Amino acid sequence: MKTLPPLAVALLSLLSLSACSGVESKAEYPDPDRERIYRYGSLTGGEGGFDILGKKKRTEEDGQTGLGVNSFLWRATLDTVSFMPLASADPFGGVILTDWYADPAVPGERTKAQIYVTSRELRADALKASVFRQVADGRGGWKDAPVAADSSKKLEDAILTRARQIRQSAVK
Amino acid sequence: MRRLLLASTALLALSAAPARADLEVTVGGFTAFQAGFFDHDTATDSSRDFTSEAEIVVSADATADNGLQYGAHVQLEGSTSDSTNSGEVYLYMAGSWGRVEMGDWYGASELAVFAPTVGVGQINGSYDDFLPSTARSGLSNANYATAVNDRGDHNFTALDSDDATKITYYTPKFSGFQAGVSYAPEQDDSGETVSLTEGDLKNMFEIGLKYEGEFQGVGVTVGGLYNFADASDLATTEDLSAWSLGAQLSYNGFTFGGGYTDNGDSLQAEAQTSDDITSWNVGLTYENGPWGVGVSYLDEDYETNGDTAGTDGGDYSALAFGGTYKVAPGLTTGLDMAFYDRDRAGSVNDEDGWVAVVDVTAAF
Repeated sequence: MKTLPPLAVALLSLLSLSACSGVESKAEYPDPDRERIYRYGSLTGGEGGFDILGKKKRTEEDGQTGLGVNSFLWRATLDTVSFMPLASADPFGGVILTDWYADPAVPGERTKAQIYVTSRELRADALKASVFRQVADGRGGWKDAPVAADSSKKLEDAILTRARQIRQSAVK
Repeated sequence: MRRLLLASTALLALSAAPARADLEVTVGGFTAFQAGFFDHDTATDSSRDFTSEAEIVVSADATADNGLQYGAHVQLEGSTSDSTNSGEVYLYMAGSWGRVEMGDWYGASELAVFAPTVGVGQINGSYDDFLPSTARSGLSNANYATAVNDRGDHNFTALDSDDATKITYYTPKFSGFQAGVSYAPEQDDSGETVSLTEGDLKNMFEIGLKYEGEFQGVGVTVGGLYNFADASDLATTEDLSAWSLGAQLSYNGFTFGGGYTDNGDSLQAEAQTSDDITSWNVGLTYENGPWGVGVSYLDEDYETNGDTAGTDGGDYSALAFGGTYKVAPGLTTGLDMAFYDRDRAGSVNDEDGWVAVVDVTAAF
């Protein structure tokens, strides 16, 4: 007859612990192969493997979680226009509208930006930016003025660059 | 009216039950390519070779209406040199009471803690695939050889039943504590094999206990194992009784840890005295984003005074450095460099040398 080894006693006492309240219990179990294979991520993104019934998709790292539009583009847009006051942002429709912003360095002029993120995919053509400009009319009011032809393009480029940076850091 | 409502609700519940089963079938796997460069004592040995390994993992997981989680898991070996089709297969059932796993799968010994490693795995890595068989555990004891687990061929945790057919029960994690117990009737049987004769090792139990916690940013992991089994009644070998204990501390990307294992005189000839096998290991890793580096050391001591030839006695040590870089999600490269030294007690030649392993792995 073997005596009960100390670890078995520990196991039994642990089991009796489970009956107590106030002890946090988590359903985590060792899976050595999963840890070995996916320690450094998966080509399919997320937890590794793809669902053959089509439920599990490459989501997390494509920036498609939670938002109605691509989260990398969305976050990059917010980042890029963060120096301007925000009038409205709709993450489901993908519209970001800033308020009028007057650069202290350029008195008598104010700008506003309107950006659409139109797709869940991280693509350059999923982004559309428009920039509006007004100048002071000298009587305390503002009147619309033309913007440089390439300013919308420049804003789009800045956002896309930022989106790429965010994606790179998310991929690590 | 109420009765009608009840009846229709019951009907609805019945018909809706199968549709609500939350089923997920996933296919994953990996392919690894390794280039080994080495220098051994044997003059006729080559100095390089390539290997490749592949596995496909299919699992189906579901949750029943009553909350029972269950599923099946099949791991298909994809290497062209594999003689078996599947490596590990098991099914499980889980709930708030814990989890039961049944099949050819690792047991409670997975709660063991030892030196931390990165990438290819340093002392726990595949450097020993490129070692001459004589420099591996080097034990001529056949019972011991079949019982040696798969962590390299060297033991840095107590002897276990690897993936023999078994039943394992794990408790959930209670405030960081988790325990598990496994039972395998035959230590060496897997798949459909039925052992009608006395095996080398039977009634193998693995008991593991692990704690994981964090105190002011310092991660603490402690794990212990106690494994025991009966040697065959027909053989004159000692029963298996082995334990190991390990701990890891982690802070800011650094992890330091190690472990100690005492396999006692498990499976040695009964007549033999002073034949314990013990080992210890220690390691340090640093991980920062896609980068990781690590160094670890393993030392095994074979006490075999009863073995006059001196083949088994002596010690084995390995010092391994490694680095890894995650190129993209699921695509990893790694480099390991290991120096090993197998000293023997008697007049048998000692063996030492080094192995460098370059690894590229793609997991999906």
